Formats: sequence, C-alpha cells, structure tokens
Amino acid sequence: MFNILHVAAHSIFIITLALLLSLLFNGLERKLIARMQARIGPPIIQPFLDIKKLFIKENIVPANSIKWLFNAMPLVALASALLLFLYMPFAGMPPLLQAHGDLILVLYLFIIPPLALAIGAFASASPYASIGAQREIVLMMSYEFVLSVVVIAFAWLLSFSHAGAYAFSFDTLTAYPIWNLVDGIGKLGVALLLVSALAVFPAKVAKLPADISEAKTEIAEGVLVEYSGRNLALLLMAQAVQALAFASLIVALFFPWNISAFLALPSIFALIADFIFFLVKTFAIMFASLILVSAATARLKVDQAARIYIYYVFLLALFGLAFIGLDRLLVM
Amino acid sequence: MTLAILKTASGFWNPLAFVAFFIGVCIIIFILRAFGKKDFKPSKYKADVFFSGNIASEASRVKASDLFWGFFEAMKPYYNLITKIHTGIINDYALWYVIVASLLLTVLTLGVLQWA
Repeated sequence: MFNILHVAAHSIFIITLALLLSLLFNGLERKLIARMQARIGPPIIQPFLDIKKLFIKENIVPANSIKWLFNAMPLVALASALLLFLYMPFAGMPPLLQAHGDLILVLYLFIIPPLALAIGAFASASPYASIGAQREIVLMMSYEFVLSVVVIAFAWLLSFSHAGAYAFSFDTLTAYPIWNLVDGIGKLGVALLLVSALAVFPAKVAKLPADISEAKTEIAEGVLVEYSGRNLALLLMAQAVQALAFASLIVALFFPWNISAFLALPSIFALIADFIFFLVKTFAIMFASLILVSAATARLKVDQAARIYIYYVFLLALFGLAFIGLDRLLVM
Repeated sequence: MTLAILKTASGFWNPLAFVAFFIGVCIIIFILRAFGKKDFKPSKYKADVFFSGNIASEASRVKASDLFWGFFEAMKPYYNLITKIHTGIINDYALWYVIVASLLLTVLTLGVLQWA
C-alpha cells in the first residue's frame, strides 16, 4: 500500500515538474526567438498566461464534428506526452518505470501525441484542419525512418560491446555512454547520428522550418484551427511537453552523464547539481536545434520537408551507422 | 506486476503498468481539464466550420486518396519506377519472382558456405 502511494506521489511530482518546465522552456524559446528577430517578445511566463486565459474561454466544438473524438484527443495527446517522463531519465534522475519499459516503448509513445492531434483535426470536419492533419502524418512517416536508424545504431553497438544486457534499456544506455564505446571514425558516426536526431527535432514538435501542419499564414493554424478554450490549452501544453521530452531523450541517448559523478557531492547537493546540469543540457539541445533554427529559417513545403527527411537526413543517419560499423570492424 | 513484463533478448515492457499509468495520467489531466470552461453559448455561425469565408461543404474536405500527397511527391522517382514495373502481365511478375528467389538463394548459400 505504502509502495503504491509512494509511486503515485512520485509520478505526480514528475509530471507536474515536467509540465511546469515545459511551459517555462516554451516561454524562454519564444522570448529568445523574438530577441534574435529584433523584437521585444512576450514575457517568459507568457505560456502560463495563455493557458490561464484559455481555461476561461469558451470551448467551442464544431457542429459537424465527431464530438467525443474531438474532445478526447487533446487529453490523449497530453497524457501520452507526460507519460514519456515516467519512462525516460528526467531532471538527472533515473526513470520511475525503468524496469517496465524501454527505448522502443518511448519511441512509440512519441508517436501518440502527433497522431492524436491529427485524429482530432480530422474529427473536426474542417478543411484546414484536415490539410494540417494530412501534413502531420506525411511528416511523421518521413522522420520516423531517421529515428529508427538512430535507435538501431545504439542497440547494435551495445549488443556487441555489452552482450547480455538489454540494449534498449535506459539503464544500459545511461550506464554505457555511446561516445565511450567507439573510437575515431566511430565518434564521427555518433556525431552524425546526433545531427540527424537534432534535425528531426523541429518536425517532431511542429516548429519552423517544419511547422507545416500548423502553417498559420497558409492554413490558419491547420490542426489547431477548430480548437479553442480548454481543449486548445491541453494541446498547447502537449506540444510544449513533447518538446521537453524530445530534448530529454537526446540528452539521455547522447549526453547521459550526471555532474555529481565528477564532483563527489553530498546526496542533496548532488541531486540539485544534477538537476541544474540537466536543465543546462536540455536548454543547449533546444537552443541548437529549435531556437537558432526557428529564428533563422522559413517554412518548408510538405514535399520539401518529406524529401529532406527521407533522403538527406536519413542518409546522414545511415552514414553514422556505417561509420560505427566500420569502427567495430577496425577494432575486431 | 513482474510477471506481466514481456521480454526479448534486447528489450522489455510491461503492458499492465503502461495501461495503469496511462489511465492514472488521463485522470489527472481530466481533473485539470475540469477547471476550464465546459461549454459555449450557442449563437448563429459560432459552431460552423468555415472555408475561405463560406461554410465548409462536404466537397471541400481532403480526400482519402490525397492523404499522403507530400509523401508520394517526395518519393516520386521510386513510385515512377514501381509503377513502370507493374505491367499487369503475369509473365513479368513470375520473372521478378524467379529473380528475387535466386538472389535470396545465392545470399543464403553464401552464408551457409561461410559458416561451414
């Protein structure tokens, strides 16, 4: 009984922290992009104010929509996005459900929020939302290739170097950082995998140059066009949470070190130091692949984005995998 | 709970834990959602869907055949090739079958010879 209560309290703490941090990072991102474009930008707490405002606005459901589906999908999107943090290392702590799910489960969980968004958009019966949903699905089909190559590369390498361990487990992935398992050309391969994962980031969270499913000026927010009030608030939270979750995944895969291991701090200070170090790493990932890119690029067309992910980014990831393979051959 | 964990050589997951936590998180969000305004005051046009200033008709929806347009457009060279190969003549399909089967057999034989 105590154990169940403890796990429940721990889960609530993690998802609350994840939600607050996501919105804070979202505010920071908007502020920095605005400053880079010589605008003042909104205050950092703007996402919190937006959510607060949306909760007091009317929740309009289109007359011809499939109402239960239209209302349920924002909830499913946010729930699955938040669930990610229970399966992944987060804030310098090991995952709560470490023994109950691995990287493959996390990848599947990452698919649910955009899919829920697309289903909700189709259920709205709006042409703009349908076009947005169609674009979302096309984009998803394109970048999932890349992510699968990245994951296969990790598992393949770990299955060689630590046979017998669960290659997809976050426990294994954090215990044996990939950079330590390769030399020379292998490190170049890992760097290429990192670049590919970073390239997927804007598409995964619908940010420029891959925000084609929303495309405010073309299809009037696309997938979000018919959403309002509390449903829209949930979807905005889901998008912010997904961005933090993907940054956390990149941190867990490529930069799993905690700073306390190097500083030999007492336990409470170690926890705080690891948390701050996690924030720094996550922010660095978001800055490199979201903020800088979004501030400097224009929106791609859907076929351009699909082409870039299917051919170029996929090829980059394949080269990464090939270099890691070559490194293994040289070692043998 | 431990019994419900499904394992392979390299991964594992627990469907029961997944469902339990998913429902738990859904309940939390449902409670959070309940703080928002539940409904809207109906008025003329408020719940209608518009397309370029007019009420959207059935005809203005995206057709299922256009669902993957961007993907097909990006993969055009591949689909052009595949379409060309699909001649509809049974002899051609049989020929492809023989070619692929012989390739697989060659790979398999080379693999067996190497291990032997």
